[in-house]
Amino acid sequence: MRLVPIALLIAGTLVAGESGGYHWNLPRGFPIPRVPAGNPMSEVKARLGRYLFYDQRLSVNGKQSCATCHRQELAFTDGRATSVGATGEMHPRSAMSLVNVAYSAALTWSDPALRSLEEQALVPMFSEHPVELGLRGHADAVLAALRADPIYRELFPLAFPEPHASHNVFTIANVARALATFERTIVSARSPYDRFHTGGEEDAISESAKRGETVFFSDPVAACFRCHGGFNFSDAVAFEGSGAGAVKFHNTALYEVYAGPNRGIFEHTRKPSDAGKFKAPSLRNIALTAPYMHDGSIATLEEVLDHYAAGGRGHGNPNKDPLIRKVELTPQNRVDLIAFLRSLTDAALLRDPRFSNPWN
Amino acid sequence: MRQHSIAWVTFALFLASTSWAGSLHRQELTPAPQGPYRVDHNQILDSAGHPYLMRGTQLTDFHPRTAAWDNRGEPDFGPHSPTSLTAIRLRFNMNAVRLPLDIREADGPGYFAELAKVVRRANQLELLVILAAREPGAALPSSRGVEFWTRCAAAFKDYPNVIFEAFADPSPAAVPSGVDPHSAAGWEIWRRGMAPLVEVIRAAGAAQPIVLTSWNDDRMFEGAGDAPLSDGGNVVYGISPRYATTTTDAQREARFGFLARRAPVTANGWDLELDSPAACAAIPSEPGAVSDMVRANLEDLDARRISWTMSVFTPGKLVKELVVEDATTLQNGWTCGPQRRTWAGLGRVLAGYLRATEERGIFVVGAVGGVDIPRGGFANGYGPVMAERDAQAHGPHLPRSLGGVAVQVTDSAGVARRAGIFWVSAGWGQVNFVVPEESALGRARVTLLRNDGSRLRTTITIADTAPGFRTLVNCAGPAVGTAIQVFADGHKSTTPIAACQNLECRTLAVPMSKGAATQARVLVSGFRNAASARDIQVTIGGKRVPVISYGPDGDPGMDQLTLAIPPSLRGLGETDLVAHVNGRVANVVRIRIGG
Repeated sequence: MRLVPIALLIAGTLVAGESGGYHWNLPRGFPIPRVPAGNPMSEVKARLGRYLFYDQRLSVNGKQSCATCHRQELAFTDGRATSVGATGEMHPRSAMSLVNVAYSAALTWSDPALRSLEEQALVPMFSEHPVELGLRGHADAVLAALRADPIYRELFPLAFPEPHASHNVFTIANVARALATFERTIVSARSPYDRFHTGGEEDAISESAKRGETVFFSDPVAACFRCHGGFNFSDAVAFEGSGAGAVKFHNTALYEVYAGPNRGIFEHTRKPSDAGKFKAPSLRNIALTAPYMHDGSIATLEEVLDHYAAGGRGHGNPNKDPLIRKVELTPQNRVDLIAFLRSLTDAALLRDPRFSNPWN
Repeated sequence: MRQHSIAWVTFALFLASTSWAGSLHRQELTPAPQGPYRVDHNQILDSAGHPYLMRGTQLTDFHPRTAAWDNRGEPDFGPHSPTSLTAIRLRFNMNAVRLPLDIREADGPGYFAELAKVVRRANQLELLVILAAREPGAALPSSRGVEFWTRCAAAFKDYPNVIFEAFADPSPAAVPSGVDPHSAAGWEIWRRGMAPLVEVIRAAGAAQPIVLTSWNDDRMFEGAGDAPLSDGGNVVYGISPRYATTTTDAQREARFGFLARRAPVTANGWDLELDSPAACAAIPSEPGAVSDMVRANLEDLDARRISWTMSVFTPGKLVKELVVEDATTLQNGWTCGPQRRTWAGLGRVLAGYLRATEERGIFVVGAVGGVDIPRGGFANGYGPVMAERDAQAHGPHLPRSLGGVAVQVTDSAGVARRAGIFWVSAGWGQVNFVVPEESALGRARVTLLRNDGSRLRTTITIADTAPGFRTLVNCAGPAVGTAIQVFADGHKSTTPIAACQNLECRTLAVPMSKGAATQARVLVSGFRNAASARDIQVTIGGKRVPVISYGPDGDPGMDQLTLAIPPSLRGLGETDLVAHVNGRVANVVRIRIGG
């Protein structure tokens, strides 16, 4: 592991700071993310979170880190239908992208109660069904290892300044806070479509992608935007001033009957009408995040279009969202929609050093 | 009044699936016909001496046996109905229609009387009519054609806004074997074939321009040279170019461009021949390339000052269906061969071109779809509105921002004002707003500003008046408003004149009780700035009716027009309500006069 002077690293990743707090330096059209009062944003905390995110010592056997299932080059997904934990246990669902996760009104595919990244960070660390990072019972050992690392010895006190020097800042809670802070900085808005739509670069996307935009945003045709609209191409977004409305979850008629443990928010609410309802994920970088759907059961974007054009495949599902209906897409519509979806890929994000593995 | 605001949204939603192809030339209202016309060198001049270019489309053929059906007002508006004709005028900004006639049908009784109804209707609605005679099976006009024009010219000699197309499809098959139709000898055969038609039309006393169409092959007037093609005066030369075979400037120049410098030329057809395998194979597979190709041809015709009637006003050509009058598009692709879907066509390309609207940009129209928009009146912007959410506001004080979208109108004096907004769509839909009353007349810029920092611009023309009748669906169908009866004892009764359910609307009878004075108060837009009631002409079933009052209705952008319904109309039934303000026609709607 190559050590880099901490002060240099921090200076190199400053994102337009502002007195008394954090300056988001957000792209045009992006609102300010909602941040818990107990975990204000700071540059150094994000830096700490980045180290932790890529640190394999945060798994029971030193084999995995958060980045194992959230790879930068895949828009922070893992390319698998369903993820595999440090001990080899298979997760029932596909790893979600962390891009723009700061704006997610609900976290994971289908937990309506899980609203903060700080809470969510604990799930992969300590869950047992399935085991992901497998830290249950190993927290003290992990914290001891972190405390022993000179990088963390410098970063933790800076990230969590305490009035009393004797106060222990090496806690799991602070690990979660730092991870959440780093994840909130992963903002993607430099796709060709962004350059076209808000940047006014007429040639940033192809004519085909422009036609695909029309199809995507048109009610009488595909109406994709009804669930995947807005700046983050998802209807499950939250930000400062957006209110605290209920998050929408959708049954896309992927199956006639959804089997446990993949029954969507039903797993939490136990309401039959909630069976099969999942969050509409952001479509930013969607070309990189195959396979698709909550269980990775659809391999390609083309097949996803087929699924929706057919009005789903579970036509008898009583919870099917009324927005899922058979639509007549021409071959040209399909080509254009795919071109549009590919225009949402933010290539700069994939190699942005602010989000890369700092241990390399 | 709230339900009316919703209704504006509803009718416009029918049109919202649009990305309009367009070009960058200036948006202008195509001039309404003002005959009689005369040919001067290579121009057609109207009665005021202004050059006149036809910009139109073809109607479906006139047949006396289907005339009533083609003129139907309900349920889906026939292709020759006033509703369809005003759609051509207002939505597409066209000023001419080509009406094909099968001369074999002209022998029947009442043929020309029935045809005259269609012609008068189109002329009244600001459309010049080209009567195009077809003689199926004949290579050059026969004696039957001569006899037809003797009668037809006599019937229409007093119609200043009619042009005659003498013979639609002269075939090179008329030329003896071994003679090149595009040689001097070939053109002499063509000239001698056309001459009798010109002679009989003039002999009948008809002085209108006559279109003489080239050989119906791909070479058109190629080889005609400098020799006079016709001995007659007031002649316009007709061409029917094809995309597959006329693709280069050199071909255009050789086939008709040279002629357009010394005589007026008009083009018809130039549709995409998707049902012809060879012609379809020549069409690029990329829709954008086809749109570019079509626009390039239109721009070429404009540059040469050539008139045109393009495509056909029928499903699959200009419109997807006559009820909705939704323009067809190439954007969704097409298949060669018989069309399984009716949406592939030139509609949006032509509409975009004639409105100078940027492709996939915002497309702003007046309340009834017209090009000019009244100050203080209602306007719809179609296209990528992409508001944060669907949102609706209510008057009388409309918000200047709604759903994260604002609309700025910069008038011809350079003054920018925020418009009050009724409605915004989350996706590709519409923004409905009121053009600020204080706006200066003339060319103005509309800018749609979104909260995410992106914006769209387009141009509009702000007018004092741009009349339109409110309807609940799609600018067509029943007029909206109330009938008011005032009885001798002074008491009044008020009843609605239309009823709608699930976007299906029907007229309700205006009661005409004996002893009562009856008025109809209809909802309109673009009337308020008329200088006086004398500037407003209204007919019901072709009968002129007095205007009692007009002006703002109370809701932003809305006006009212109150008409006296004369007792002589009692029992008329459902008929057309037609209005002109300062010479501009409104969309034609339906009204029912009871017994």
